Amino acid sequence: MHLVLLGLSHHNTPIELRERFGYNAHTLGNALTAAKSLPGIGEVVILSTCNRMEMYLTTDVPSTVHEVELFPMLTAHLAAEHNIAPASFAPHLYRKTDQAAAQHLMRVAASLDSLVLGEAQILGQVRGSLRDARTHETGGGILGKLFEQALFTGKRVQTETGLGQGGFSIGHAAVTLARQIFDDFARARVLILGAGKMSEETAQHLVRNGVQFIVVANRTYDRAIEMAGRLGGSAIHYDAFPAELERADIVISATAAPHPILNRKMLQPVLRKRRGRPLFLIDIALPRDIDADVAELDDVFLYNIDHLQHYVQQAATDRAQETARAEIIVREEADRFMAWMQTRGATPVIAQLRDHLQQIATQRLAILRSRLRNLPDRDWQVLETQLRAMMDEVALPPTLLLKGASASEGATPYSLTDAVDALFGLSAGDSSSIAGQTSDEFRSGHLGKLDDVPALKPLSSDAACVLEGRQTETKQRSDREPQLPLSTVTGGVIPEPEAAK
Amino acid sequence: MSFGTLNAIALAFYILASVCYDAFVFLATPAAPITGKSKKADVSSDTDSENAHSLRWTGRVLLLLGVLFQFAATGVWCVTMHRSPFASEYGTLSVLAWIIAVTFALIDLRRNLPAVGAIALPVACVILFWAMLHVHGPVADTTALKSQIVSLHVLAILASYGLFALAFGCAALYLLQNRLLKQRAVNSLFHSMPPLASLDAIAYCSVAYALPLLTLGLGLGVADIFSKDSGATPSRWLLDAHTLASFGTWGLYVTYLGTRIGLGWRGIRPQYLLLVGLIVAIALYAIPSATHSFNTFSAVPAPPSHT
Repeated sequence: MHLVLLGLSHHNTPIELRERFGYNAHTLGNALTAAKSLPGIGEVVILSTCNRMEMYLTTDVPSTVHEVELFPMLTAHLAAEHNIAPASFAPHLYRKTDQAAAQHLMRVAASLDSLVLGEAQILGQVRGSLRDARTHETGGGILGKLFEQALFTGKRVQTETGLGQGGFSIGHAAVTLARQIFDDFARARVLILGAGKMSEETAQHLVRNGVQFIVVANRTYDRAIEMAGRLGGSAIHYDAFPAELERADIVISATAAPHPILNRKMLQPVLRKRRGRPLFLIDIALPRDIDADVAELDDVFLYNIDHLQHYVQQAATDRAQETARAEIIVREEADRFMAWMQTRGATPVIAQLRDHLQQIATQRLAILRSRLRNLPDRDWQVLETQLRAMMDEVALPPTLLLKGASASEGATPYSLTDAVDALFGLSAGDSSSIAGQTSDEFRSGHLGKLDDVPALKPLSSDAACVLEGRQTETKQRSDREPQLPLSTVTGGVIPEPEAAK
Repeated sequence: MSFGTLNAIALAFYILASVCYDAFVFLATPAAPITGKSKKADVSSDTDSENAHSLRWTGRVLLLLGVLFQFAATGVWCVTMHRSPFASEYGTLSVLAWIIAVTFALIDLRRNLPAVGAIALPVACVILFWAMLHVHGPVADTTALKSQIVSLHVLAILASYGLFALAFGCAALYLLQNRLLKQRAVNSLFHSMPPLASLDAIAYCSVAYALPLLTLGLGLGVADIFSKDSGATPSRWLLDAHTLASFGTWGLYVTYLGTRIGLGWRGIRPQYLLLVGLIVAIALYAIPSATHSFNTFSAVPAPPSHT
């Protein structure tokens, strides 16, 4: 199973193209289902934010044919889904697999790949994308683990580095820019279009820096009232916002509108009435809410998501040390995830093997309990511990071997998991039935009495030596426990070497 | 100490102050916005920022020293020559440079705008240097210049020009900042620039003080023309190119204030008006004038260089 990532982000894709690949609540479900139905695809999670569209998948398509089969198929799928020619976006599309894909998501969650370094919103977006995939039953197992590990990585970076402390966010950038235009925030009037999380966080930054007049306009008026209440401002009906533009100094636009809500034609009469008063427009929506040509108007300063990149780059240079620490955390967590992913092929067999051995131990103890009723509880505890420890020791070499073989894919010409399965009879039937059959045979006396067990399973001389060593070891352990007679521990369970001979 | 030496010291202080202000503009880091729940600014106390602020205070001290030495130099010249400073091109330009320096010092102390100083102080330096080049120029010796009305007329006009120069500097910075914001050019210069609103407000205040001074200066000039006993007709003064251009300048600034107060104009258009206003005012010096020439009244020998 391979992990695959296809994506477009603010790093290499212009906003004009990126906004065509955005998903909303209505389209995401279909997109997830459609991607999962593609041949060779197992799980799908789509991370769609204003800065990126990334599709994480698991596939059983061999890595040797990813370039010639898988990626062209996925590119064609995206092109068809978004009704856009593959040639127009393929050069911007980045493709990563396995370790690189996992590490990329960890970097995203740690906000190292964000437009605004150290921002915390991305964690919520990563969590939301996993939730959506689980809702539509397209992601859970491997991708579930990957996204959870990514969320853990993001939190680690926030708590263990200074990246998120006093960090740069869109609100931070908005305040810094607004300070270059307005000298007194107490007199500035802010208009917020769209009562979303991003716009609220941006507005909160402005409020903390002295803004007192805030007006919120939203299609759902109740949400506008709620947000205005939290910000200490007032709410207006969405249709009334053009009139409010005449009085506003700063406009934060973050609606979910599919088309621009503010254009040159709409703004020109407003600007005439404003008589040259500067208007600062912050467009943090994707697709964009404000037409780009608005920026050409006198006394209008338009900044969209991409324009904030300058600030991020500047902040990034100031935080090189914190970034380096965050990168180390990301690598650690990505390695941890890959180790998990590589061993997960052997995990079911290992679990089955352990269950199988534990059941044997449990049933053997049950037989002994029926025979040795007078044994004190304390002795039973020691007996149980020793038996389970023995089972663990038996399971340890094959477990390590299975994990190692699973991690080094294709290193052996045969499947060790199949071998263990066949040797222990794990999938031939219920493991308990084998153990159960043995115990039943004991009970019925078909296999002889308990004391005859060594005779039923004659040991080779090598095995006897090993057992002798174990017996000595067990004896030494028992010597450290003086209350327990040695005969109780060994009697009838582990045969004397002489008896075996 | 001779006025020449005092002027040289003043010029040296102005130059050093200019260097400090310019260096501050490029070194200063912007104050970080408040990010936490508390109402405390998240200001980093890095070494660069501390150095920048010490540069600024050094600049302020040097500027004040320059202002004091130049004042002393002008006083020494007046005492030595027994003339008003406006009797020579040297004195007139020197006073103009001094007015610019003093006005900026007041604005900097009140509004905290080092970027304006980064432009205003070099302008003051150039004017003072130009004045020092004309220190041996002709000195007018006429009864007209001994009149307090004429002295007040020249002083009012020079003060208004000093303020117009400051408004010009603010307008130039406004247009530069406007351009940087439009181009999203984020650099140290961008962060060191004052907010557009501050620049607009200072330019407006400068003109609001300068225009009454200019009006007063022109009014005193006209009053002096009509009060003259000489045979020269008032029309000779009033129709002089210099005088007409002065009224033209006055008209430009009246238009600026009118649109600003009456029509509420803000933004980049009024800034262009301020740029044109000072360019016209400076052009006055290039216009040949029969009435406003120091040569016309020249009768006193040039002062010795080390008097």
